Amino acid sequence: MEKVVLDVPLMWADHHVMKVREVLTKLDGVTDVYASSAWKQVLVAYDPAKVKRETLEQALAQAGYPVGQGETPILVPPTEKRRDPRWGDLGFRMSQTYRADLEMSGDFRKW
Amino acid sequence: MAKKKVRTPEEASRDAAAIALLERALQINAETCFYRADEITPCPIGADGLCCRFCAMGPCRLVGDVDMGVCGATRDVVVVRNFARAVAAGAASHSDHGRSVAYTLLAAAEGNPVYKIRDPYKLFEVARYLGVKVGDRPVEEIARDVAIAALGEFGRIEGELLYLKRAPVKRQKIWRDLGIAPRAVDREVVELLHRTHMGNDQDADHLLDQCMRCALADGWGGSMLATDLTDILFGTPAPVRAEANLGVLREDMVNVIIHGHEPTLSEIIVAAAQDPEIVAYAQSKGAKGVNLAGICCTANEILVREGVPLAGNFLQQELAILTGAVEAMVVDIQCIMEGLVPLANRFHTALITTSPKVKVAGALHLEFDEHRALEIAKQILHTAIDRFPQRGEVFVPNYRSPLVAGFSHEYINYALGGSYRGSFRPLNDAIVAGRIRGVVADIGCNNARLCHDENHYYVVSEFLKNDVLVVQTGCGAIASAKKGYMTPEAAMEYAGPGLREVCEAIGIPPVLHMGACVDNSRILTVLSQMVTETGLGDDISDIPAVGMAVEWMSEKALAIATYCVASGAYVIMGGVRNPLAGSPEVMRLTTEGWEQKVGGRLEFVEDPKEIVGRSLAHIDRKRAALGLEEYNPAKWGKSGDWRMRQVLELPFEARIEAVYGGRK
Amino acid sequence: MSRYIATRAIRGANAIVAEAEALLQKALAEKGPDAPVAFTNTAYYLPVIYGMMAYPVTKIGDLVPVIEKAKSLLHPPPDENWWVPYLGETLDCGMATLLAEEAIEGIRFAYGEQPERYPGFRMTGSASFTSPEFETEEGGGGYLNGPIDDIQLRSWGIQLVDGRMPGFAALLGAARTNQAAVALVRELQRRNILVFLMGNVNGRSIIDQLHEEGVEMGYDTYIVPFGRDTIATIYPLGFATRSALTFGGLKPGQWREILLYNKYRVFAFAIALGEVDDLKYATAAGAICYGFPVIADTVIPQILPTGVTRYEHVISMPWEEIDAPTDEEKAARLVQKAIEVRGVKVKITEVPIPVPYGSAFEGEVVRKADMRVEFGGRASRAFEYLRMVPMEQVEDGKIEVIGPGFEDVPVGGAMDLGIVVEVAGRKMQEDFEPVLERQIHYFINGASGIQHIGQRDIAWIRISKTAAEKGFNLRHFGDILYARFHADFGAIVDKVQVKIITDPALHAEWLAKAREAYDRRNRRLADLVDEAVDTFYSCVLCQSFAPTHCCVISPQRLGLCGAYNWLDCKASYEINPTGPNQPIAKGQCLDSVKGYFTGVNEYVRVASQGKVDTVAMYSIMENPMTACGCFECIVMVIPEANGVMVVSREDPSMTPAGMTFSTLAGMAGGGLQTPGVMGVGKYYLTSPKFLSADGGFRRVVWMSSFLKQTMAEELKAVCEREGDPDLLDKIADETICTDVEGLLAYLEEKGHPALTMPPLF
Repeated sequence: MEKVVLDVPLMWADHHVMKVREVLTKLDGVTDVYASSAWKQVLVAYDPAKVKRETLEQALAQAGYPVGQGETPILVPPTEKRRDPRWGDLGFRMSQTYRADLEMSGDFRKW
Repeated sequence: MAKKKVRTPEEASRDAAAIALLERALQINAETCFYRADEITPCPIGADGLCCRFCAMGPCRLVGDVDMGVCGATRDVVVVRNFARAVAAGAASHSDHGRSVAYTLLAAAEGNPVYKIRDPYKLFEVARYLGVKVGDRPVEEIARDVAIAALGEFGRIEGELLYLKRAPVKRQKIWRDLGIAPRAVDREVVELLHRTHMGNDQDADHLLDQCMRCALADGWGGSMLATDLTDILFGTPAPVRAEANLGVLREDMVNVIIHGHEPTLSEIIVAAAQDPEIVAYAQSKGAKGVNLAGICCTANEILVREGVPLAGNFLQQELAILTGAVEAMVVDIQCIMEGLVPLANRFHTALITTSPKVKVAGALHLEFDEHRALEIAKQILHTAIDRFPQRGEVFVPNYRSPLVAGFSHEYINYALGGSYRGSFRPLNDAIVAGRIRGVVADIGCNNARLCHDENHYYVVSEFLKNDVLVVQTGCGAIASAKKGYMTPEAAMEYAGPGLREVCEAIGIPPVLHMGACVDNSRILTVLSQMVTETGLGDDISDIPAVGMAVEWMSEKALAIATYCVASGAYVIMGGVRNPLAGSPEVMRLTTEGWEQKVGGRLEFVEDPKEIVGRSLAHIDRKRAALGLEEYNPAKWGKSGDWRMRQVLELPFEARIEAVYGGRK
Repeated sequence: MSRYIATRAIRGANAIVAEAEALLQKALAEKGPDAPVAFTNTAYYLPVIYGMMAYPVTKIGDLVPVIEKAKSLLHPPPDENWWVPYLGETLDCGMATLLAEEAIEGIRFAYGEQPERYPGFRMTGSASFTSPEFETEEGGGGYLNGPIDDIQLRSWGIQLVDGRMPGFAALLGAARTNQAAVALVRELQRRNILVFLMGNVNGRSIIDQLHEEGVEMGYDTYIVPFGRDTIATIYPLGFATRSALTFGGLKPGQWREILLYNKYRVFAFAIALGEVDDLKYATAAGAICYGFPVIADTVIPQILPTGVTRYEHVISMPWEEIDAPTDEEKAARLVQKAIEVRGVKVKITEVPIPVPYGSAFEGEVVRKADMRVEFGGRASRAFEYLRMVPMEQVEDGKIEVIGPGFEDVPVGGAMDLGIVVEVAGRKMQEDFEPVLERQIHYFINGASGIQHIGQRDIAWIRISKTAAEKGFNLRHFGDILYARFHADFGAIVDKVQVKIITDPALHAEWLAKAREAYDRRNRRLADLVDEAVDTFYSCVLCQSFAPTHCCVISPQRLGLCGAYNWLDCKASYEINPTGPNQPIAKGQCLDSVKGYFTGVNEYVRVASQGKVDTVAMYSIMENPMTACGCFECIVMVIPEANGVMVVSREDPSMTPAGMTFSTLAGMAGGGLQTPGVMGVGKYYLTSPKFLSADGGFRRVVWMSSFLKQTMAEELKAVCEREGDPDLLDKIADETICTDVEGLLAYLEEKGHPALTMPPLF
């Protein structure tokens, strides 16, 4: 029995975990899977006599989760001086307390 | 001139780059303001405000047995008159600056090809205050009306300044009840000058009221308009990374220093410096390009909007030239030392004056005309580049600190809740809970009579330790930038536990750079919003906050101090002698007297320790008056990333268990 | 935010928006832009998008601008060093995440992938609420819940408003163990907090954990399983958005108000169970925009400064570090902390019985197969009777079981039961007897494994096998009633004693006494007409939700939620003189037909904060009473038919007005006066004062069949009173027609009186 920890950068949320687990647990020889979207890593316990590590990696790659590859897209890259590229078009410049903030913060759950 | 004791470089400054260059000055025998300050003894009579030179029957020196001038003017009146003249000059400076910007906005609205409305959203917001209809009218049309409405504020015929309604309701009432609500910007300055003319207003208290009214016309009028209109033209600041101190000068580039206060030309120079034609020209002279850096408030203006590095603050203007690496120093208005001329002449540096209002004898004058702004900017850069081959020995001290600047009140509002929930609630909450003990605005100048930056460094570090959030503008801000207080990491290093939590939650440095000295109006807006957000009383005077200029020197600083007091703040002017010292009665009127009238007080305190002590005492007193919990740093500091880092270091298998914590 | 959280949340937001965009492109290519996108049973489209953008999404093509909006809210992640501020940016990214998640769920609906399939799962049904015999064994199995429908939202309204249901908890991920999962959920149920479930850790969801442990999930048990991934978190946030729209009188596009409403008025929080990934952080950032804090059972960076939420934003309570010996106690601590952080005030009455207790168990159904014993129903007779007696005749806390217990009754058998509660108190009045007696139903139902239906002498109680095994016996009915009457009605009840009667002779004797009392009360109620009193009562309970709405409750017009009649209000005022029910002196009667009273107008003007200054008590056409959002029925004028229709909130079908209940509710609610539309309690239909200025019950031309069936008896009596015994048959319902043409044809055919009545306009 062997254990391996694989980096799966594209497994960044729990709906990916479901797919990754499905792919791996289907493989004959895989005895245990801990797929962690928090750390983007999978711990696979497998029987090397039945399944090769390459097979695991292939299966993952086919399912769209290549090991050690890929990165979550950053749709808004930082600017050189880190001025927020969105600041110019956020569309408002508040210089007063918003009316509703005061009105709605009043008494609530009186009873 | 008899030789006085001259300070060593280490005694003259706390800034490493400045010390290095002061040593350089000694080596090459160059004279600076530091040296001159040691040489010249301040006139003790003038320092106390007791020299009356308002008519040709004098000057009357009201010292010793003399307690009246020729006309019978008392010490009280003479002291206030001198103070009033300073306030009038300060208010005039900022306000005239504001007027220039308004004309630039008007030019932009009327199709000037160089200037554009960069921030239409801010334009709409300002239009609302100035009573300009927005609707779906073209931006240029709105901008034109805003510019004209803004210009109208300077010579408003009746009523009062429109911006006064941005203040808390209670504050407005105080002004109106006292009769100090400013009516028009120019009018209040003129009236104050009038009232200080010989044989005019000769009641100290009455004259001080007009000082407040004139100063308010600056803070809530000229300055606030200057800030707002500049934002409309060049963008409302948001955080930006930059570096500060003379180490930003580049040995391989043409260094152009921008110095003064108005960004209208500098903004164009920033754009022009990236023009391929200019870059090519610089390369043709053997430089890699043009490196811009700023000094004083022009520096702050283009830092917060464009991220242009700070070369230094007021007392470093001469030192910059001493590096021998500055091809041109472009100056506009205010705080430009005439001493630059002889110094520039010793180097290859071109000192270029640009404002129609400011010529300095011996400097090159390339007058700014907003319709030819780009052309002039390029001409300036050409002049600088042409000097590059003449560059001699270069001495650039390798000191520079990273900083994050650009905290407009609009951005602070956004930072505290994003587009959907932006408000000052988190800041008020932090103060109410006691994570933030209070807020200090440390603003204003350097003063060559003091050890450069020493007071700024000291008070800021003490406030941070005590969980006081510090906001800064002007040369005080540049001091903290150089010291490294304006990095987000500084929160971990210098701030108390509560302040650190807040900084970490928002991602801000513990000291916020809010812009140039004209942008102190932003602080007024922040304070007003803190009031209306509720939880901290119903007027600015209720907020646990202190304003200070711990190394002040300019008349503008006195105008700022006065409008802050009139807005309800406790203000401490630090470092040098109290200019009201000649009259105990005037000192009483501006402390207890003003506290009764407007809730703020103006104090002059030389000792920085005393400044910190009085400020914290004031903050705690205001906290108590609001019924807030007593400041107790032991309660805070539990949030943050530290715990997570421990987990992250573990290997995978250990980590998935470790997140559940250790068994206790 | 902490920089760590900001980094992960901003990454998660960028990633999910990119994923949503890719999915949208795929859907546009495969299904086309006109393929419909809709959540089931809601009038609020995709509610978060609708609330934030005022943009109704009905087809896939509509999602394009939504994704554009989401993209415009994205920001770059902060740097490792020398970073620029990130809090505002992270919160924006949180909103972007929510928009993207809702778009994804919308597309999944279009693909038939939502609600999520879950073989072998079955929600507890609400149909059986009226009678256990309606049980359906197979209906609705195999799916998780998906979005909560509008009907359920409204029926929870009054409980959310009056604080019986303090708020909701979104449990995200998987608990440390199954036991921990059950313990957490029980702990929340005990406090009547709605539990929403979603997400997974390593493929295991808390839904799986509860399913394995046999915990009943469904609307009735306050546990709603949404989906096994984090994206399903959009459903609770949609629920939150809709409560602001439904009860807060807010309009779509008032995004700031909607978020603030949730911050200040909806007491919700998220509990992140297990490790937290980028998307969970990003979603949490979205939740924080709503003012909902997050509590994790693992190590994550804490964000303790306050402001966007009312109290701390993010709390970490690593499960193994919670200082308690058992999972149950750890769960209790965690929930306690969550409640503290949200600032929810939860009153729990400790009831000394061997089974869990709380309103969350009120909806539990005891099926015949799971039943140990029943009282009432077909095979036996149960009654309950509460009476006021002089102080000295009550021994406080005395609980007597008179007669045999149910030990000898065979499993699944029945026996007779009488519950007699005797109370005494200086402020007790005979009028309060029925008010208190009606509480017996709620009090007893709160025990897990006990089901109570009906009232008076048609009460019907079942005890489950599980409850009996845990030692629940007859005496515990007394314990429950004793504890609850003291806790809830301590202001008017000083002493309580309970007799549980199974002895046949005594049973008969007390039943007779009880019936005498019921009869007496009925007569008293009949005498209790608006003209006979000089005081009405207000109910501003809902002002915590609908700040300008005020109910005026008269003897002949009960509150629109159906939960408060005039006597209830009178009692409530005695219990809490500064509470939500205040006496309104009728004052001078300005118009006895339409029901204008000076006192009422004055009161309403103040209570509605000036929004409403005149109220007609008996008219729908002129200054009708406003509504909050939790009305049982909507009455609306159908001008073509010269009459009104009555739609019940249980009725999801189309109506002749061209709108479903949900859409109509938007017009009727929010504290606004809309002539021609009114939200009412269903028993108001039976009142002689029902639209009496406009012609009364004979104006009803269409009525949801649900009402016709469930109120058959009462309505029949009304028809007789109106002098038209066949009237009910002349009234159309959704099985007959759902459009005006059909309605008019039916009315003509049946000769409905409304057609010949004076014109409404």
